[in-house]
Amino acid sequence: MNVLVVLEPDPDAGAADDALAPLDWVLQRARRASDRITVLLVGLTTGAPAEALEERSTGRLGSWQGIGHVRRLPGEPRREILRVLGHEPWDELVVSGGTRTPAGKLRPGGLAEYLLLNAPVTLTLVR
Amino acid sequence: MSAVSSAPEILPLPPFGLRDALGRPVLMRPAGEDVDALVAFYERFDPADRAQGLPPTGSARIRPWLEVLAEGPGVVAWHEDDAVGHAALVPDGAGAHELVVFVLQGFRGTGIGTSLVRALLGLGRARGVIRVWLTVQRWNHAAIAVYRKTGFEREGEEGLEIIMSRSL
Repeated sequence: MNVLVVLEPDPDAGAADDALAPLDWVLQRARRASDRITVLLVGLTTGAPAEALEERSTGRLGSWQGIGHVRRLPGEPRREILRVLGHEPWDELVVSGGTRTPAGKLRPGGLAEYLLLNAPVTLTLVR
Repeated sequence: MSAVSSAPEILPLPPFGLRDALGRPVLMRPAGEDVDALVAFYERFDPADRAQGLPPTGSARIRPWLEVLAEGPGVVAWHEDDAVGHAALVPDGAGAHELVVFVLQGFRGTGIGTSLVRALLGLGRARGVIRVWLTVQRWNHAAIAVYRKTGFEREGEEGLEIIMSRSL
């Protein structure tokens, strides 16, 4: 499967493990399936949080030689992700399922919700 | 002469009893040493009745979540020996509290949700809670009606959800 993983740096959390959850989920599954993984860093693509996230995602992929690569995708995330989705055939788009309120309610978050409604490909929300 | 001020809103302070729309006796009590009953309550929840990822499924997830809810005031609605509703105010770390409320399927539409929220607001006010907010899915008209009746006003929208709030 040709899998596109979207990661968003969290300016408050640096490269917290939460931000890497979608990639970790895909990598776990990749042990069984022969997925080809492309990681897109969107949103805040410059500065320390983005660099830390890029370094950690590349590190995660590093032990899976040849399985995939990491790319920064500058610009407005919604438009740019749809553009990437239109360029080549993808089997699946994997994004973070968003944050939770103090009481634990899911907040899908702008990007996940937008992609759920607009991405022309199977979407997986990782929680 | 001073202006006539409106009377302060009267909010009931639990514990108190009432009858639901079907005449069943229901007791509202502050949440406390009733964790096992609450776990049983949430385990009885039909997965189809979950909203916004809550309540969690399975006691291994329900128990730690109840500990989070217990950080603020809570009220349990009891019918005989069973918990049939639960509402809580969770501190949001920014000086306000988030409200959540759950009513068992067989007790929905009987006024229990409204009474439960009012009891919780009364308890919250007594414990110094100042501002309360919540999120609700746009299409959850029954819940939105309960929140309007209990003084919540629409504060904004976030995608498919509405944010409502009120002061105490």
